Amino acid sequence: MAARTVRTRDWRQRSRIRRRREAVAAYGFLAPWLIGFVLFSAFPFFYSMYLSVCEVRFTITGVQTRFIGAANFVRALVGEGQLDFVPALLEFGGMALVYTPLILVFSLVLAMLLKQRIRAKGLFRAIYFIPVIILSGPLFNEMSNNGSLHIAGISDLVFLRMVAAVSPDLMRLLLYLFNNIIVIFWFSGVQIVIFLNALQKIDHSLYEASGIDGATAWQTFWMITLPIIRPMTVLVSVYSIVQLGAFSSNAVSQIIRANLFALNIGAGYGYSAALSWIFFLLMLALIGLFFGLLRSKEKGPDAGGEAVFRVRRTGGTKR
Amino acid sequence: MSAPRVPRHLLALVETKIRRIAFRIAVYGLLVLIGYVFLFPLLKMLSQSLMDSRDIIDPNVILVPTRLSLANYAQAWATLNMPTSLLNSLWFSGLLAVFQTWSSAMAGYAFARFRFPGKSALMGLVLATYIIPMQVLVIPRFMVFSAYDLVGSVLPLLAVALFGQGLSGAIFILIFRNFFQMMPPSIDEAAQIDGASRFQTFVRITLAMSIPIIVVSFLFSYVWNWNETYVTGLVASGRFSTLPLELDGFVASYTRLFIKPGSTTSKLNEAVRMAGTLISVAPLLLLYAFLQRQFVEGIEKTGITGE
Repeated sequence: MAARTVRTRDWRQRSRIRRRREAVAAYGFLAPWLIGFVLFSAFPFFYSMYLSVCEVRFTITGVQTRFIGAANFVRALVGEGQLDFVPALLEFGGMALVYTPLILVFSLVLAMLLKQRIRAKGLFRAIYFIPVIILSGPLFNEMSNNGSLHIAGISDLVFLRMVAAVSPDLMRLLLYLFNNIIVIFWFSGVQIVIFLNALQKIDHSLYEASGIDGATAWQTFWMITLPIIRPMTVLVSVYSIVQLGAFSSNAVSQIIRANLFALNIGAGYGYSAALSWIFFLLMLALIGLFFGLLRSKEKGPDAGGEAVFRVRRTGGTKR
Repeated sequence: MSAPRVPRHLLALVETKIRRIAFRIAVYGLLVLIGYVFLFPLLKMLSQSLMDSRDIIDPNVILVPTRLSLANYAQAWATLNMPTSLLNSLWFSGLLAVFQTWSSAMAGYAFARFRFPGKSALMGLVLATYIIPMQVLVIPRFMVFSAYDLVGSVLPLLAVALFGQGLSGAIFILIFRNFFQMMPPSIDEAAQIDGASRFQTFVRITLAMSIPIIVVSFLFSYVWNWNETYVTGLVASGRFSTLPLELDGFVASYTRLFIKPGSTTSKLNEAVRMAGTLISVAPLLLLYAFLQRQFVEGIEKTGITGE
């Protein structure tokens, strides 16, 4: 008996030591990231939060900060910021709201096109991915200065004129779409490939089963493809919003940077920090919105099985 | 002429065949059309960059120049401060990518292989860094760098990458975590039984078996860092310039180089600007031409889309 207790205690102790060693090793591997996180992310994060409620001045002795409460935020939203920051912010918000769903739809459609059994699939896929490799802020600026982002003569299309005769609003919508299509496509490269990979992983037997049950392609898309793809739509929309927000040529970023060095009273680091925080909150709201809209309501790993079940229950078209 | 009798099942077969071919044509048509839309900006820039000043102004010349002119490229080459800025971009993005890949691999390994207190909280922080926009962090970072007189140097940016806080750092950590999780841990254990330390196991076994994902991570980090100008322009301001930064200041550089004060020559023409833009993306296009597969199929290897 005695020997056994000793052995148990011994074993427990050893497993505790092993666990501690594992934790030490883990933190060893994490150390570079942790140090960097504290120095270059956590500290700047809280410091910029602090700066946003301060007035920052440069003196001979160094940087001086003075607490001024919400003054920077007031200035940004109802004061001078109304001249440049508020319009830029609204423009960005509107763009993200419109572009994100469009990017989702277009990249899913393009992925489904690429999923077909076709020749030269690799070539098309490679072309659609080019913007991911080359897109930079300066490139984007050059293209939009130059008018390369609009396909010439699109507003003269006979088709659009015909639409305009029926409904000017629809015409405007189509024109907006055509005018922005290149930008939307250029921001969709990674998303297309993510969707394509997800589509290729869908179990083919699901499609066979729904085919036997007489489901049309349209029904198959809504009841099998979309439910399975749904988690990816959340990922893709978050990726798209972050990508749009990080893009350096957006006007909000430019204003934040310009105000760092602006000499007029009230501008400077504190004001810039407040601007960046307003921008961050808008980004969070956008991400939250799309997350809430696209998150799947039914949980569980068997989403595909559920989908087939639904096809069976509602029945395909009778032939 | 009476129609020859065709068995009904054959008719149906022909009908499905025709329908399938029509579908094919529609798919190819769409793919080509979309490809054209994707490439349109590049094509337009290419055609404009080859035009001389008369063609640019002439509204009748739309896409194909009447006279090929390479003079634009010569001017753009000089304006972009060419060999220097290209070399800067090459080594700077390369170093950043190496550092970022290394630090992300280490962090990813910690999350994939070990159980430790605070693991899920730390993973949450990793993901949080993805959502926090650079605009929020760049102000204090810049203040600290300038307090230590590091503005105008690339050292701070290299340090940020080396300590895992580089561009889209969270994505790279996630990629490595996913990849390492797919590898059987028994290999690591075997190496440790043979007397290898944890670090040796990581470098000699795990990393050695992860070359494909290291390549993917390096390449994406490389091109994204190459194209980054917001932070680089701020921190390295003035003294160090990359190719995209030169493109950013193209108009100013051109004015300084080619327009003499008080001269009546017209200002920068569009063709030179487009030539400059194309020169600045050419290295990336060249890289992509060779490594296209690694880029596109790389995303599949990352395990982002699940297994």
